[in-house]
Amino acid sequence: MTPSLSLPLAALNIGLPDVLQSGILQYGFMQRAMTAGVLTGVLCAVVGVFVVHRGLSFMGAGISHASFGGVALGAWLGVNPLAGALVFCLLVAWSIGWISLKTQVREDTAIGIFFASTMALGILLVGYSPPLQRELLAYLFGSILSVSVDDLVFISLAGGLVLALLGWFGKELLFTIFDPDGAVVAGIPANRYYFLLITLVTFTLVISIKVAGIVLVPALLVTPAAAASQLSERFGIILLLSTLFGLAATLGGLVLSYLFNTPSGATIVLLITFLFLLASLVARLRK
Amino acid sequence: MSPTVTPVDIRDLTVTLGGLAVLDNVSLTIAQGEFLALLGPNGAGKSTLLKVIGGLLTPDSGSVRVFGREPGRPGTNPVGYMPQAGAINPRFPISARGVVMMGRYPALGPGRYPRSADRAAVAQALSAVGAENLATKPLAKLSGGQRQRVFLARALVNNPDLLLLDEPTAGMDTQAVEQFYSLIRGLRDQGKAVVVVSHDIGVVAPQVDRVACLNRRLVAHGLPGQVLDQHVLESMYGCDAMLFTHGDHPHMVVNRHK
Ligand SMILES: Nc1ncnc2c1ncn2[C@@H]1O[C@H](COP(=O)(O)OP(=O)(O)OP(=O)(O)O)[C@@H](O)[C@H]1O
Ligand SMILES: [Mg+2]
Repeated sequence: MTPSLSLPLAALNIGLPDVLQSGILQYGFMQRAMTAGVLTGVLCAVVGVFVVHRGLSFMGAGISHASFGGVALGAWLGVNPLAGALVFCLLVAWSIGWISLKTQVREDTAIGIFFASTMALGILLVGYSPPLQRELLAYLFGSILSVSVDDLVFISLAGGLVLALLGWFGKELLFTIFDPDGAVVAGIPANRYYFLLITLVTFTLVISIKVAGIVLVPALLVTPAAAASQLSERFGIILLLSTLFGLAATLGGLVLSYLFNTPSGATIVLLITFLFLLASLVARLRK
Repeated sequence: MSPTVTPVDIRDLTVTLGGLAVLDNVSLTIAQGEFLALLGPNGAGKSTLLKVIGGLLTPDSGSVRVFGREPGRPGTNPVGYMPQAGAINPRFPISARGVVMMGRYPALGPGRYPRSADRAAVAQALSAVGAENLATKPLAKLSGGQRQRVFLARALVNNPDLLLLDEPTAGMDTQAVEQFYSLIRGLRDQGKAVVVVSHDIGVVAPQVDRVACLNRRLVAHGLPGQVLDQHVLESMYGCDAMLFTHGDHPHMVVNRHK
């Protein structure tokens, strides 16, 4: 699971006519990239709808940046960097949750503190880890074209678990993000579901680092859901539209980056942002 | 419902928020089939008291028992709660029907999704509050009074034994208010306990069995006719206040604050 920029760059040296003649799916790395794009695109888009409507967008950005500290810590300790990121980000997310529920410090303040301090820790530790220095750009901005079969197994298992939990606890999560007080009186422990949600968000972000990178992955989480929310006032429809936008952006972005030889993570994020602007325009015109 | 279990039993309750005693030594019981109005000025602690009964806030001292259990563990006696308007995001993407359906979620439990019995209960609750025509409307497209009706329907949908309603009629039109009180009287007659927070003393007093006047402390508690005299209103509102009876309806007149 070591991301690298050399493979994608070499792959992208293929001339355009070749691409058109042979189709991009003949390359194993492209098949894996497409699969990873579909899986993470759907996962982020679905989880993102809960994130956007619970006001956790900044939490998403905070946790994904914290993963930089986790990746560096993992590399420094000599364990798998993504495993390091997962454990580290869970601790950060739960700390932010605990602080916002149990102290006078607001959630966004707690996020602001962790956001910067975990990045600082990462930057400090990167200095001690030459292998990580080589792969820094891949972690920061994604390297979807270097997705391995092992990565796909990890994405499918962890992503499947997140989606299964969302399906099982979906209506409880919906109730608690809409009206936590009403849920508690009815007998649904809203605080526990808040921790469940930030745990699912953390898994989703860490799973998707390979695809979009630490810096860009919050866009995958937030923007499809934000675009979909412009177009409907029904949670179910928003879930569906968000999934479609997420899929369109990851697959479309991959093809575009292949055709125009651009970095794939950035292309995906710009495409989803374009879809958001389009959705906003449509929403305005319909009013 | 076993006849021996008191819906709400509060003894010597004190709640401190931000270093301030918001409720001070409050004792109150609410019986089955009792319709209680909770009165008091802004900041008196009315919403706080409902939240304690609902299990949203834990007391600093004293004891609170709801159907003999800790608050927030409804068990076999469902509790219907209607938060004060403004407590939820009115732009949340959900239909009126979807809001009411949430009241069915706890009984369904995780992993189970609504069935036809749940949909029937939702339709019935919506029509009980005269909102059947709003069922498919998005929350964002409802007026303030329509939203209040929908949240009332959610509080009712599980056939609760205790109803905690925080200013339920705020924003409702006259017809809806009449409909509301006749609905609640019907529930009271079935043996449900109902607590209603209201600022509209004149409207609520003739409807209820008991009133509790709150201003951090429980200033008075009893039958509306006995409790709502000038002395009580003065100590509750901290100013000259008088209740005039005008036809069937008492009106309160409040003089300038001292
Ligand atoms: N989270 C909190 N932290 C500190 N003080 C609080 C908090 N919530 C409420 N208070 C204070 O507790 C007091 C009682 O508030 P509460 O909402 O119970 O009043 P209320 O009787 O419902 O008033 P209203 O008629 O305006 O709804 C107020 O003085 C309020 O400022
Ligand atoms: Mg209040």
